[in-house]
This record gives sequence, structure tokens and C-alpha cells, in this order.
Amino acid sequence: MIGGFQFQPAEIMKVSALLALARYLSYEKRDLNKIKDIAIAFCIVFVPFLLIAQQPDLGTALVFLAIILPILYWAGLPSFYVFFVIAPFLVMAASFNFYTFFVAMIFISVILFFLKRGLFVSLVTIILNIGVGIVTPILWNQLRGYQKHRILTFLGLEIDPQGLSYQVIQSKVAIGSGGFLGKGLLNGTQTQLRFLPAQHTDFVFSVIGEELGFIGSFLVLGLFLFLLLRGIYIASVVKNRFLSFLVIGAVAIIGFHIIVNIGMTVGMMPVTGLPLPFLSYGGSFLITSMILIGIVIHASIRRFKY
Amino acid sequence: MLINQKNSVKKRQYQYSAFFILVFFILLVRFFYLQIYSQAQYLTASEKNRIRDVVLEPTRGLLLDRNGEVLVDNHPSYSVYAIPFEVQNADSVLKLTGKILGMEAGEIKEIIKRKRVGYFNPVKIKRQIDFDALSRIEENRLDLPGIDYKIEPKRYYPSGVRAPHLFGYLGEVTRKELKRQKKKELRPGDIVGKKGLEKVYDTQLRGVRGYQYVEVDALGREVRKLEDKREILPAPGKNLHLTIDAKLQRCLEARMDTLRGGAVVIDCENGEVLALVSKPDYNPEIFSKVVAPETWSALLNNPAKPLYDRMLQSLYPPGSTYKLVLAAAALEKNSSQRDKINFCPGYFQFGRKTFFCWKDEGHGDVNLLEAIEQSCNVYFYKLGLEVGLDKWVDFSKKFLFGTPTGIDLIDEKPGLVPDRDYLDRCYGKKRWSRGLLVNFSIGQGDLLVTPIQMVRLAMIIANEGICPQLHLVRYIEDPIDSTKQWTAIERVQIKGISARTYWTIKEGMYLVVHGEYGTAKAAAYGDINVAGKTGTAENPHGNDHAWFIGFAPLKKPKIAICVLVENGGSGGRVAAPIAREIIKEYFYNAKTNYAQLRWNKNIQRRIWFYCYCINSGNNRVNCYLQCILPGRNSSIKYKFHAANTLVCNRRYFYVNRNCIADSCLLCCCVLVVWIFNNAINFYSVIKKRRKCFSLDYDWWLSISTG
Repeated sequence: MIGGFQFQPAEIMKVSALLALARYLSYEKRDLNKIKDIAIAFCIVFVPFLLIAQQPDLGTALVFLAIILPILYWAGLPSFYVFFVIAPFLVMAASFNFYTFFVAMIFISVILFFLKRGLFVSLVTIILNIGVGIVTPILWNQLRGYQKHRILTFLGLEIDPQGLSYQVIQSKVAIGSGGFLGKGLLNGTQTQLRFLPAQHTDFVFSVIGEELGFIGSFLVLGLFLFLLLRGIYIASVVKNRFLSFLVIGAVAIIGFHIIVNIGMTVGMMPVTGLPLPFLSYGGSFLITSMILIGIVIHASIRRFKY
Repeated sequence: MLINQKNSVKKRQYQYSAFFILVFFILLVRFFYLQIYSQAQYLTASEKNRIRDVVLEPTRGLLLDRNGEVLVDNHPSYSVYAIPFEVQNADSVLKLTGKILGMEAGEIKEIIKRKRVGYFNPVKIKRQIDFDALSRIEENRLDLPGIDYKIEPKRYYPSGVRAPHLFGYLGEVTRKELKRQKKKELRPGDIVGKKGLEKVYDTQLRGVRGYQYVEVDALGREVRKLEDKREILPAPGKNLHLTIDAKLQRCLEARMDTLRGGAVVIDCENGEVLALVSKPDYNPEIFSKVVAPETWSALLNNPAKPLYDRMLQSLYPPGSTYKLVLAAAALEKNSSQRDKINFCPGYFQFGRKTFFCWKDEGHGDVNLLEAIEQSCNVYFYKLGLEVGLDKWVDFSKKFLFGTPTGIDLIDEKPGLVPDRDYLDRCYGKKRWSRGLLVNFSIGQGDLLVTPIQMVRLAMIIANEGICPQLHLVRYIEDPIDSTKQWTAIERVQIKGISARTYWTIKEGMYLVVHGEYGTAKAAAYGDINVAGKTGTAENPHGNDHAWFIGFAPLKKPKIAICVLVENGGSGGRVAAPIAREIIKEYFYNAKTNYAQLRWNKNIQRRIWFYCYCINSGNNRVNCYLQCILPGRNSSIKYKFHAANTLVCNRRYFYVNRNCIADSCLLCCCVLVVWIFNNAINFYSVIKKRRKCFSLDYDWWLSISTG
């Protein structure tokens, strides 16, 4: 709270962490094949991640993890490492059923084969993943009922009509009832009669879906996609390594927000408190978005050599 | 160096772009699925969200008497409702409401929990609050969000007719009834008929709910009425036009007020019930209020059992009135039974047992007609043994005893005719003797009937075997378009009993009322020829039950009557005067004045005579000449009674002086009949034969004066 309006430090932190990461990786001598350098890069985002996760605001905290992988990969991190980080989550999700687990393991093995990292490393990876797959159900069963319930509800796997699921149901009803052309601006019944919760913040896209229909959703999605592709293009042509990292980081943050938020309104993603860039009400994130776009535009100016 | 590796950068750019394009494409597919593929489903869901239907309660149908007088009407009363969503966590609201209504907050919560259907449907918490509470709710409106009241019709009885057993009463629907219903028409808290006509015709009386559609926001607050979805107006309940004659009913209720028992009057021609009284009763208004537990238990525990409909649900021994059934059986078996004479010494020895006649000194020589007239027990003891149990049971069943009348009221008892199977079951095979039959023949013993069955017997005799279905509703009228749905009357023909038998029984019944020694002389009134039979039924519960059944007038019977006074004593002294009251009311005072009725028939330009002589044995011939004299110009200028009866055996001639010419004609006629009769009498005396000639009942003369 500064001077009568709220400000979330986590928003500033997104930009700060991005700057720090880009700065760290832009040194000439960084070698992304070295575990040490990778570990330090991870540390830069893990500190704010842990702090924010303690708030607790898991949604915002996940943004930091969403920054690191794209930047590292952009910086030249071998595909194997990306895969090495992602694979355990895949296995965790698949571990509750023997057949899915089996399929996941075959999938991992095939990818490992194509990555050509040598027999020893591949074997270790597979064994580690099998270990994760075995331990996950055991740990899961150790949890108390309400803990399971919370996690499941968060992931959108369990129905809770009064709480989070209610929002998703109403959001889906709002979007679905919009149809092709929508109910017309300011005529959405779900919106105007306040059946839709958080309609000016997290679920703002549902309003567009209801009142402007499929056409409106398509247009907005298209504009967002254009923004992201343009960012990637700028990142790839900019001549400055540091700026390139910044731009791709900005794209990652904005893209992550867009995907998670819109995925949430249509019931494909768990309900997290992530706002939609440029559309959701809320000063802090708007400023963050503006800063990020500012960085992108700045980089765009600098792509030519004078 | 990364920057220099152009290919690598390009590759990654494509990878990143491809990733985003893929994800956005997935999202777009999802939007397509939601907004276009399953739009209809989500549209109805959103409509359901915003539209709440407000129930508009229909008014309950009225009950009217046969002349259109309103018997059961509606009065407004106020019921308090709560919307569960708004009050469930507002303890202060519940507390205040409780204070106003005189209830505990927890009690209200309990009611809401028990009755609610969804969060936004109002739940009725208290019915029929007084005006004081109503004004206090209105006053504290702002402090009571979620609490509202509605107008709800309450029954009231403006005509002064009580007849609680007939009308029944209303009450809140029970969980059981809700479960039992096939169509989902009822909701918790609805008012439905619990007894009587209110229950039987509940679906017609209830009407159909209407709905009003209002748009609500997420908190359930009304935003506006919807224009695009029109409200459905409630269809009011249909009105029942009863067969009851309010005047007659009121008169009877007043007459029997201090007695226990009941009376029923029906229209012989079509089985319409004109009056149905069961006493003691209770004030039906008790049940239009919310019944206090004390009132309820007082009614329930009252030793006089006012909740019981004695006409349909109580079983009684019929006593001497049942002799008519035995007489019919005997006459069918042997048509000469009519004149067969038995000696009554006042008692009857059967085996070791002695059965007594009600008259200690005995009736002397009596034939069947006299036995009916004077209700001689000994004659019927002998007759019963002659006829036998099987024949007696057969005729009891022919007269439909043991089966309910099927009148449109609930819980009617079928009664009991003790046949061979029953006696075997009850006493053991071969363990019962013919002594039981001696008792049965005077309507005592195991035999049990309801009063409504007895009036059916009177009606069958009056109609000579035609038994129309007894019913209480003439037609059901839709109050909107006035379409009438008439009750179809089914007529059952009783087989195996000849017109001759019926007429002999009618003769006997006529003598009961008009004969010299008749037991029901008190039932006669005016110039109406009444036929009847008294009964004095012994029973284990105290004094005898007094019975009277009968019909009037003798020719072309119009009404059939049954009167029962529990523990009243002798039928002739107690029940017959009530029958007289009925006849007086129906034929002389009531709106459907019988005299007027006859006047209006299509006999206006003719003079109708009919005379008949009835041989009552003992060398007495009763000769009757009846004449119906309409006015000359079919107007009511000559204001004399439509029927002038000349009773010959008293040698009096009642002739109306207003029509001397007609009187002269009449005198001639009477003279002719008189001479004719005496001559026959004289002849029979000479022949020393008791059997006298009797003119058939339908020997009549008509002289056209047109």
C-alpha cells in the first residue's frame, strides 16, 4: 500500500527477475552446458518463486518458472535439459494408472533416444523418472483428505460447486451462451446480472466471449497471438544478446498469462489468480505489462545497426 | 556465439512461434466447441440462471348447493414466507421474525431446512398470521430481507350449513402424499383436501398454478419482470355444484343438533343426495384456521366421536327396518304370503329359547301387511324360518347390502351380511344354529349396515328395483368459460324381484305411516302420502337405536329418507318425527316446493284422479281417492293445493270450495268408488272370506276438461 493504492511487489519482481536473469545470461563466458551456470540461473528465479509461493500465491509464483525455461532454451540450453526438467511432471501426472505410466515411460524413452545423450545418462533419466512414478502415489496417499481436495480442486479435477468450480461453470456458461455473434455489448445476462464472478479481473475474457461471441474471442485471440509472434520475431532479430533475452522473457511472461487466463475461463486450466494482460482490471499488472512492452519496443528500435 | 548462429536462432524462433500457434489453435478449438457446437446447452443454462419463476397460486373452487347458494367460500388469509438463501445466515432476521410470529429462531430454521426446494424458492413458515403480526412485518420490512407474506385463500362457510363430514377440510400436504403423487403437481407447503369432498375432488378444486417470470441477479434479487416471456395466469379451481339442498340441510342440522345420529335425504329419481347430516359434528371453521393441538386432541378424544361420519363410517344393526328385505324374499318365494295370517301371542318359542315380540300382549292374527304396519316380530320370526338363511342372504345381497354405495366420499364402510361362510368362520362349522336366523329376520345379530345403505334400500323399493348411483355433485363448472361437466348417473336394475312384490311392500310401508295402528304415524304431514318403516335396534352400547326409512309420496316417489338416532329409543317416537320435519320442509317450505313442481308438470289441462283401496285385513278396507286438480287456464288463479286428497274411510271429504264445479264432479266420482267398494266389501263379508278385493294401485281415471 503506497499512497492510497495497492501495489503488489510480486509484479515488480517479475520485471526485476527478468532483468537479473537476462543480465546474468548475457555474459560472454556463460556456458549453458555447465551445470553450475544453469543452477545459478535457476537460483535467480527460485528465490522470488519461493517467497511468493509462501504468500501464498502459487499462480504468480509459477510465472517465474515460466520465465526461466524459455530464456534458457533461447540462450542455447540443450533440449535434453529442458526435457529433463519437464519429464518428471509428466510422469507424476501419469503415475496414478499403470497403463498411462507405462505409455509415458515409453514416450520418454523414445524422446531420449532421439536426443542422443548416451546410454548412461539416458538410463539414469529413465530410472529417476521411474522412481518419481513410484513415489508419487505413495506420497499422495500420505496426504490428508482436505489436502488432496485442495490440490484436486486447484487442478480442476474435482467439483466444488460453491467455490472455484462455480466460477468456472459460470464462465463456461457465459462463453458458451454467447454463440457465434454474442449477445451484444452490455447485453450479456451472465455478466450484467453478476452471475459471472470476478468479471472485471480474472474472468474478463468470459465477458468478451459472452457479449461478442466467437467472432470477438477469435479477434482477441488473434491479436494476442500477433503480439507474441511479433515479440518472438523481434527477439530473434535484435542484435543485442541482453535485449534478446529480455524480449523473449517478456513474451514468455505475457504468453504465460494469456494462456493460463484464457485456458481458465474455458475450463482447460486450473483457476489461478493470473490476470489477462491489457484487459484485466488491476493497476500493478498493467504497469508490468506496459514495462514489458516498453522493453520489447525498445529492443525493436535497437535491432538495426547504425 | 548465439547471435551468430543464425540458423539456430531461426530454428528457435520457429519453435517458439509454432508453440504459441499450436496453443492458440487449441484454445480456438475450445472456443468453437463451447460457443458454436454446444451453444444451445449453455444458452438454456444461462436462461435458467437469470429467470426465476414466481408461482401464482390459483384460487380454490367453491362448493355451491343445488340452487346456487354458496356453501364453501374463500377468505383471504396471510402466510409468511422466507427465502432460504437470504435468511439462512441472518440470525438477526430469524430472531426478529420469530419474535413477531411467536416462534423460536431455531424452530424457523428447522422448518426451512425441512421444506426447502432450492435456495430461492420461498418456504412457508407460518400460515394464517393475524393482522397484528402482518402489520408488524410490514412495519419492519427493511430489517427483514428475505421474509415476505402472501395472500392465501382460507375456507369459510357463509351459508350456515355445517356439514363438516360432507365438505371435509384442508391441510398442508404431507410428505407421504408428496411421495405418492404421480404427476409432480404438489410442492411442500401446498394446501390440499384432507377429508370429504375437498379430498375426493381435490384435483378439480385445486386449479392449476400460474407462473410469472422475473429476471434475477446472482443474489436472487428481482431485477425486472420479463417482457419476452409472458406470464402464465393461474387457472382457478372448478366449482362444485352439489346436489345438497341448503335449506333442507340447515333445517335438518338444526333439528338434530342435540342428538347423536344422522339423517339422509335423497332424490329417488336420480340418486342425488339432498341432505346428509351426521351428528354430533364440529364446526368446519376449526380446520380453516391452523388447528391447535389442544383443539385437535379434544376432537379426537371426544367420547361422542364428532370426527366420525355416522352416515358412512358407522355400522349399526338395522332393526325392524330390515324386515322389508325378508318380506321381499318371502313374497318372491310365495306370492300369496301377502294375505297369510299368523297368530302373534307376544312371544315365540324356538327350541329352548323364547323370542319376544315388542308388544307384550301380542298382535293377535296378523297378515304380512299388518305385520309390517305394526312391526310384529313374531310374524317375521316365523317368516324367517320359512324363508331360510340362504334365501335371506341372497335377497340381502340383491338389495346390495354388504357393498358400499360408492357415493363420492371417502372411507365408506361396506357393512356385513352374515352368510354361511361368515358364520362358519365366526362360530365354527356347524356350531351355529338356526336361532341366529330368528334374530337376523328382525334385523338383529351379526348383521351390520350403514345408514346410507338403508336409504338406498328405501330408494330401491320406491323405484321398484332401479338403483341410481348415489352422488353429491351435480356438475362441475369451470368458472372461466362456464362449461359444465355433469355427473353421469349410472342406474343399476335389481333383478329377480317383481313389481307386485314391490307394491305389496309399498302398501305395507304406507300403512306404517297412515294405517290405524302404524308405528310411524308421526311421520305424516299434510297431504303427502308417505311410506316408511321404523326400526328400534337393540345394541350392546346402551339404549336402542331409533331408525326410520321411507319415501314420499307413495305414487311417483320423489324423495327417500333415512333417519337414525343413536340410543334414541323407539323408532316411531324419535326418528319418525324427524322424517315428518323433512317431509314438511321438502314439500312445503323448501325452494323446490313439491306442490309447485307438480303444478308445472304437463298435466295442466287435465284433471287427474286416481283412487285405490287397500285391504289391510281385519275386514277393513281403506279406500283412498286422490285427485290432482290444476287450474282451468293453467294459471295459478285458483289458488288451491294441487292435490286434494279425500280420505274415504273417515267419511270426511275435504274439498276445496274454490272450484265447486270440479268438486261436484269429484263427489260423483267418490260416490261411485264408495259404492263400488262397499259392494265388494259386502260381497266378501257374505262370502265370509277375509280376502277382499283391492283395486290395483294403478287403476286410475283421467278426465279431460280441456
